[in-house]
Amino acid sequence: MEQMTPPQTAELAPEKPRSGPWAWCRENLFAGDTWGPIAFNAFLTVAFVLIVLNLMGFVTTYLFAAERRWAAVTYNMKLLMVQAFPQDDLIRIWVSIGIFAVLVVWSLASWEFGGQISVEKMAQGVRAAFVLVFLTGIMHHGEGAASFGLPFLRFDNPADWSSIRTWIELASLAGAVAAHFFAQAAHRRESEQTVPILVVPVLGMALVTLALWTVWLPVPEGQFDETTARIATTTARPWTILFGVTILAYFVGIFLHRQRPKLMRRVLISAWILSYPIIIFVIQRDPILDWADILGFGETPFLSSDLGTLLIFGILGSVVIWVVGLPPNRAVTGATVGILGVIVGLMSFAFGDGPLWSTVLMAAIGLALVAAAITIHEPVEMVRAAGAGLAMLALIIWFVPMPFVYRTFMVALALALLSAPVFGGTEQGRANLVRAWIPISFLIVAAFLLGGSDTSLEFQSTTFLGGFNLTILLAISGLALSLPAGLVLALARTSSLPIFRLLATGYIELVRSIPMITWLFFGSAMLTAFLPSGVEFDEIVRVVAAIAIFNSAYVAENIRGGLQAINKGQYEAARAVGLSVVQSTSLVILPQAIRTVIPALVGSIIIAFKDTSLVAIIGLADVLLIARNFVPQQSDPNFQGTLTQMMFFMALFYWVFTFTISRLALRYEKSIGLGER
Amino acid sequence: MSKPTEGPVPTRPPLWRNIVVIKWVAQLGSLIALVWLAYVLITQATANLRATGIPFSWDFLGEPLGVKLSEGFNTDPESGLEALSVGMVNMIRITWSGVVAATVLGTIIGIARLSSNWIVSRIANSYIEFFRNIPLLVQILFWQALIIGVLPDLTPDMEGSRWLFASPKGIAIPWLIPQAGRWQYMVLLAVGVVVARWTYKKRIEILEREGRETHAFGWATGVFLVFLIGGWFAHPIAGVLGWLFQALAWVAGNLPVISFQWLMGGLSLALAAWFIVRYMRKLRSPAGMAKLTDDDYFRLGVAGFLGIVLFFFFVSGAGEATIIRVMGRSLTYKMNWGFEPLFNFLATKYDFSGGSPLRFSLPEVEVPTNFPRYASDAGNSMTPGFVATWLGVTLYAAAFIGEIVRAGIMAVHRGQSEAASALGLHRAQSLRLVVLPQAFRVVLPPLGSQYLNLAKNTSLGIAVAYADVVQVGQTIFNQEGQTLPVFIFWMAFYSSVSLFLSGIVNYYNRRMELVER
Amino acid sequence: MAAKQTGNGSTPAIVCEGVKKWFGDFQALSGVTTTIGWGEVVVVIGPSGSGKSTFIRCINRLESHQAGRIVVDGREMTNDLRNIDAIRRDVGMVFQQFNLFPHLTVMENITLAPIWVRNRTRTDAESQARQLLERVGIPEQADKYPGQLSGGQQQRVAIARSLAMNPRIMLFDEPTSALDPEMIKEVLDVMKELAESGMTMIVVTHEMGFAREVAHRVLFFDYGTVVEEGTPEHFFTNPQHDRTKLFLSQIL
Repeated sequence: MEQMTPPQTAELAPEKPRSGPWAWCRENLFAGDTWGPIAFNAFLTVAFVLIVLNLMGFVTTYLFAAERRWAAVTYNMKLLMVQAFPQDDLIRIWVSIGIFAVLVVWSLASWEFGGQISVEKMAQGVRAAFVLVFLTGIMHHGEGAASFGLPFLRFDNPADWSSIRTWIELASLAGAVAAHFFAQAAHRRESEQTVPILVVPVLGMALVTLALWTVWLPVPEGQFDETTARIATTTARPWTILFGVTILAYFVGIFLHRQRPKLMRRVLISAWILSYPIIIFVIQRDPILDWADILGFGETPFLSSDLGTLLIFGILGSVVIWVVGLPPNRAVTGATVGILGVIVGLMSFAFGDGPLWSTVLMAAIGLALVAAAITIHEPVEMVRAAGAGLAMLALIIWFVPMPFVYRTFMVALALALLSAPVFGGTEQGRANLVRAWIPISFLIVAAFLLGGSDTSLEFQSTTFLGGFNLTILLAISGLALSLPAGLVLALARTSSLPIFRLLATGYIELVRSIPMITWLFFGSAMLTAFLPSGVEFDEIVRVVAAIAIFNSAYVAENIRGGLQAINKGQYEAARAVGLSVVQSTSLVILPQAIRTVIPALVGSIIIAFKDTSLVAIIGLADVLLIARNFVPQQSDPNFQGTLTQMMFFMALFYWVFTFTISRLALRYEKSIGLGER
Repeated sequence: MSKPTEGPVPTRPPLWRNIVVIKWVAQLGSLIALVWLAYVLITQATANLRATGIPFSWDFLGEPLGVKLSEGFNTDPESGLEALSVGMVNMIRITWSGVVAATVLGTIIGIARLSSNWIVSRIANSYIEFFRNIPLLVQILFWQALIIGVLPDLTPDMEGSRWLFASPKGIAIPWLIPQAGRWQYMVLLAVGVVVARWTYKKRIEILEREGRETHAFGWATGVFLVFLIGGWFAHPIAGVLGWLFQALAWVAGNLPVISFQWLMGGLSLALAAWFIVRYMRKLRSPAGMAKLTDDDYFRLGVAGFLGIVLFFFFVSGAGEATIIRVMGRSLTYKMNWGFEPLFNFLATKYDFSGGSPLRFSLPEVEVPTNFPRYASDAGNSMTPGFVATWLGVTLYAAAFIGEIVRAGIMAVHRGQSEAASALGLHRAQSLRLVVLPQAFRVVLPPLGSQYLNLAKNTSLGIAVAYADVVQVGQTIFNQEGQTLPVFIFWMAFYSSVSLFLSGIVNYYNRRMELVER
Repeated sequence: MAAKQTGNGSTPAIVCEGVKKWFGDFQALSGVTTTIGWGEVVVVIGPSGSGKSTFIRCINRLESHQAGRIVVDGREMTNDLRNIDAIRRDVGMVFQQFNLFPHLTVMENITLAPIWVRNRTRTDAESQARQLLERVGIPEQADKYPGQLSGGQQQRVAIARSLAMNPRIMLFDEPTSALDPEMIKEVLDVMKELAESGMTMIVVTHEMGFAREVAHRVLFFDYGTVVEEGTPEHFFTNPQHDRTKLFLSQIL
């Protein structure tokens, strides 16, 4: 198709007349005829300016009053972030943050995130910020202030405050004027000057780093004796190193992206999935936990250690899935049966106390599964095999004495095997299945490390997890569990099969109609009652389960929105070229649906993050509970009665996080909106 | 597989390859598996609870508890059910007032965001970005901290009445305190609403028939005002309802149980039959009866099955026991509940007595023993828990409602407001007369789900010791150990609330759509 | 042109006997009976809502018929899973709205089914896809996404996608109705070429020129049944039925 070339001499639009500040005010603050007479608009403007200025004055006066003890925040920062994590092992936390930061910047580099922001706009933003500081300073009417400052400008005497205020006023005024002229200069340029948008967060981080080294706050020493100290005594150095590493990593990421873009993306996705269990269970695991239990070289026999379990199920399971995924062929039957026999044999060896019939039963089930998997020619027939296999598995789960982790593994492996013929057949499908299986087995083992009991291992409790660390753990774990569950629910709810639809709808509506806090009570106080006697999970694990129950209903509704947005013709076309129901759904419908629901899913992520604060009510020591109860009520009299300012801090803290995520999501949404067509 | 020639050799596929069979076996199989799983879990739970020495039981509903609630119509409840009903009423109270306030505030914010005045739209925008991005729990705790930490405490010299008190003990405002006559007055107001609606319809009819301005809205308002003012004095008329309730109480208490049983059983059969007949009629067209598909058979089967099961349930002993309990004839629980006690209670409220139904009253501080406090019978003194929760849920929901209203206005904005200004309307007029009524239709479904969120969010009041149904429930299960019954109670209560709310929204939604056509 | 025998035996390609179908209380098909031989090109025309789309969607079970029989390549279309899957693999379909998969490139669109259903290797499937793209005249577009192609190109890709499964019967559901006029020809050319190669085709279309030139037989549908059928010259020059005359007078 030839492209139409537009006429060469297109007329340029007349340039917009430059508007000065007065014209701008006339247009935007005191305009007539749109909302009634000028008087109405002028009244609104003046009234709201006064309200805002007074509010700012009140807030700053409160924040910088002499009685405020902001050291309650800085001094307790470690408590807020990681609660009782051992001081000597804090490097683990820093390593985790480092991994996270590197993954983030590499993803930014790999998906070419960014865009440009014009210098003029940036200067205007800076100007507005300075003006705001200036106006707030005018409205500030406190008599004194808590002593804080920069090393060269330190003041400990509240009386110094008025002169400092003058300095701040002068500085902000100067800054505003400078930014104004900068903006003017940028405007006058012929071509629009731009810088990458990533410069903005980098500048922000640089400011934080600078503040950590230079800003001083009073820190209580002993009972009531205050001295000033840098706001961060232990975090400045690691934070600076982290800052440097992050920036370096970004450029390395850009380099890698240019070399092998596709490979890098694939590796990054796996790295994101694996980073979660690695950070939580390997890097941040309870330092007291004996590595012998993991490796199995100490008192624990190798086969009941973490590593042994991982080897049996992760590697041998992968092999089985790989073989079962082969196109139907009698020759592989023997091989598969043999491998499954090995697994079953190993397991009965590992837990010799199980009765003989359980071993026999397990072998029978394994054979049935394999036979079902291999004789399947049409994928929809899988339903039958699934029914038979699952019913038998359910039997084994409840009646055969076996560590719970192995029961879970049996179910997971069976599910993977049952789906193997559908995705299998092709090399790619089988590789995908194996790839999915490895992180699953990793997750199961890790989950039992953290929270399971009734295994052959004894574990420390999870009390070392706390603070903001716990908040993030809960948010991510809850989501990781609720995404697949939500997917299944959404598919069931949009299915043409009435009973599935009914069940999914019932679940979703019931869960959604009940407040989250009651689900948390359910998880923390009632879930244990439903488990077989002797099986007990740590409270954190139970709460994660409750969060997953709740979130999955919301995620399901989001995905359903995406599914409904897809043309029915897509499904018909997929069926018409011969794909099965499951293949049509997983290869054609879901990839499109997921793409359309990403913005809504980010919304769910934000909500999930905000909702984790509710665990404070059931007494888990997340950052909110520490800020509200531990700090203002702890025995150190320095911080008693700091409740209000701690809540100020919490509001700001959460706001910064959620606002950042939502802005990133917005930007992403715009970028796919532009990129698609 | 046989290869049929062109000749008619209809073959039936074997069962295991028949997709209809596979489809239903898979579904029913999953259903049975789920039911079985539920059975296993429940058995497990029963056994576990028995092992801990606290078997599952509803007895706490009727037993004295010895808990004190921080607020509500009865702060010293006699039984579990009474405590929970105080919690439910508290929850409904805060939800209702929150919905009203959040709607007003959210609408203002949504419109302000679209204002051409830079500062107004900026402030509205900041409001939304600010309140939306902070967890609600943090906000509630923040308001509580402000009330406790910043407001000045009451002092003995504040004794007396004022228009407003604000202190760490809560906030007190003037209020209309309901008196004994309010039950009768409420009936008259309800009648007023119905009559006003009827008047409105009649006037509109006249308008359409005769083509003259009939001031329908003015008439309706006038009629309602007549009831509002007249009812204030005439409310003893509604006392006749007392006889009605007495009669109903007699029916609930004295009619033989077997008659209720057969009535309900017959009703369920009739309902199933009605469904089946209606369904079959839908499938019939002038061209004849459509061939039934497996889905049709399933639906008809389920309807018939449910009807028959319900019938046998009602005529059996279990049905008898249920009806006895629902009617309130069995006093297993000390809490007297069921239809008979309910009607008896209502009968005592309607008794022709006069007096003003509401009393205006200013808040008052009393100083019994050097410690000042709010007088309980003057004005409306709200506890810090209530104020913090109410502020939290209202301001939070208002941010979301603001966004919804803005989106709704934007959805109808363009062509409609241009058309309106082409007709010569001002922007404010076009907003009020053209844009807003249409935006309401777009806005309604998301608004409904926001109301539902607000209702659920009030449960966070537990963090600031607001005695809503969750907090009361938690108190009960901490004391009695009955976690599961309390959870089931919560489920039932919140499901009914959300069903009720979504029912209202659906009703208006349907009406809106009808108006459109 | 006589119908060529390309089938694997004595059975005709498609046999329909009294096929009926309801949507709720609306009867879409009220007894369709016809037989289509191997290599035959049948054009189905009729007013909208006459059930012609439903008819060809029943042939590969995108809709299930409720009464009567459909036998495709000797396999009866019943609830038998194996037959349905086998028939879908042997019957290709081209839709009015193309229904290409927008998240996959042209190459991936074409190779998806051969790889996942026929278990062919990727290289094998891709070389076949290149041949097919050559055949429909757009070899250079293999790595583009459907959204970057014109309507005519998309429809040709859709034809190539169906051909990649080596079907023996092709169904076309108004393949040119969603196209701009200048693109119709490029699609019709591909279809003509396909017909000349001996493919069994059922085409629902409003392109009377195509029907005259290529069809062996024309079926006229109304009220869910075949009102009239015959060779193109007979059908267009000497229609028997009043409905047919009315329809032709309206569109010609």
